[in-house]
Amino acid sequence: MITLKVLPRFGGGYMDITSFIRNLTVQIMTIAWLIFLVSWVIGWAIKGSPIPIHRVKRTGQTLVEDAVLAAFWLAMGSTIFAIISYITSNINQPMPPPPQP
Amino acid sequence: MNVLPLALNLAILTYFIGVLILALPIPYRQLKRWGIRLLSDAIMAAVLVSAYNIILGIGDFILNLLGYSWTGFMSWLTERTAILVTALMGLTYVTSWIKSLGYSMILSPLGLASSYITLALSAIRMMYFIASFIWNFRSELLALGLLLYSLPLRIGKDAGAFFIAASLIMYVGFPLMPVFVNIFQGATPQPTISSPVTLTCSIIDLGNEPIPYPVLRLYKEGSEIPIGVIKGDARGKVVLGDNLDVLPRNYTFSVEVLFMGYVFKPTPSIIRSGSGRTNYRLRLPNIIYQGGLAILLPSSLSVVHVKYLGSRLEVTLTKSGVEGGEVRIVKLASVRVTSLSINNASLQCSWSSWSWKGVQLSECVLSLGSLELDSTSPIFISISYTPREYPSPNIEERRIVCYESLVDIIMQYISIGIAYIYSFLFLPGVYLAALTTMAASLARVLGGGARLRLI
Repeated sequence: MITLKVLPRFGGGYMDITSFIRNLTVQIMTIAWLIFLVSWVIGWAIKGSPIPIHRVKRTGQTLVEDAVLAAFWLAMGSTIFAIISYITSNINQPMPPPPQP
Repeated sequence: MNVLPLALNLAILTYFIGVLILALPIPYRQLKRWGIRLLSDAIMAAVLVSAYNIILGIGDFILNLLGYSWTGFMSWLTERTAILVTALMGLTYVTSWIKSLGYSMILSPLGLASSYITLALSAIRMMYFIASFIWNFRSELLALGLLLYSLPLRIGKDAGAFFIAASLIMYVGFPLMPVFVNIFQGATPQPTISSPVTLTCSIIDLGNEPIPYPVLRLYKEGSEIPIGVIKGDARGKVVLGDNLDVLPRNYTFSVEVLFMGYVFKPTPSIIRSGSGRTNYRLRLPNIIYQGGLAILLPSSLSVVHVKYLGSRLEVTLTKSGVEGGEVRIVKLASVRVTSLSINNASLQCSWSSWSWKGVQLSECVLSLGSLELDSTSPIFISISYTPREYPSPNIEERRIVCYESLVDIIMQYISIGIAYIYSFLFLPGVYLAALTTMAASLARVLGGGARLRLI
């Protein structure tokens, strides 16, 4: 049994490492949404900028594509993990008891 | 277990770090690829974490399918340990035995065999350790593997994959070890020298009474130099072998018996080792003995009957040849003869004394020719005396040590040691190496080979 207590960055008191990671995940998710927005905006800005260089436009396009893809996986995140645990819990049949040495 | 939720949360964290990297407004392809790599890692880790119980169950499932169990493996290990311990005990016994024979200089090859067997024993102990570790901690190993596997940024992915693979492969592989070892080892050799050759000889006189403290002299057939001089006990028993001698396996000795300063040829005068017979009755046909006094007869006289009366000895003889011959009466110097008569005629004897191996003896020679006896009628000799215990002569024993047999024993143990090294150290070692390789391959499948491609 591994239980680690860590000092959280926000709020007082101790919490275990699982909730710490969960908090961290939520923060990263929030930052990821923000960055997606920034990225999307920058991408469109570059794409729509009046610079007649094809390469620059393509960079903008790539940024927008990546940002949309990231948004998609971001939105799908919890669904994917739910699906995984749903499938494995369904195929997880009771196994024979282990033999005694 | 708290490790699994932790691992799952780490996988989710990895996933969102991947998404974050993917969403970064940096148009650098290599960086974006890292984002996708992390996404796939996270999904793979989540699948493995969720399949924790399935992975644990697969091991039992495969074992059941193959028909092998950990119970069988553990009893196999116990059996092999017992074989080794028996061999080691036998070796210790042989070593102490050879030491007691005074041949310490040839012990170093046995030390070699002993070190081989000890090495095999350590190998078994190591096997016990690894097996019981896998048996007891495989679920912990798997959980730890999953935790390492789901750490973000591929920090512990290789190690985690190896732990996961090892927990499965070792769990299934160990119970199969007996099959592997049995295929390659052939028969496990066992030491056969549990009991060395032992021969017991009972030395008896003409009337089948035991001769006390006889000295047996053994010769190689046709040789004049004795290869062994062995003293018997008070009941006339001489034991050859019995941890004191190393007798050759198939050998013929001719024997002589020394008693009261005389040398006798017993019947039978030949004994064999390795013929299956271990008890010999060696009869001395020329001597009648009782309580410290012996009558020695020439072969020209045959005995009709003998009476052992405690303090009197009565012998009836007939002449088989024309010549009279001599009858010798040998006694301990401490024995006092009260009367001696031949055909009821009392006789005075002149005793001459001498000492043989610390035993004081005196002897009287009766020349039958000079007594003018009737040649056809039987001769009746009667001696009354005070009987005495015959003392043990001060003779230096020479035990038989056959070098060839000794070398045979040593070589057998060395070859057993080498065979044990092969079947107890080498074969399980090879098998363990094979298992580790398999675990590494499976780890490659989990860690590197089976990468999901999402875009």
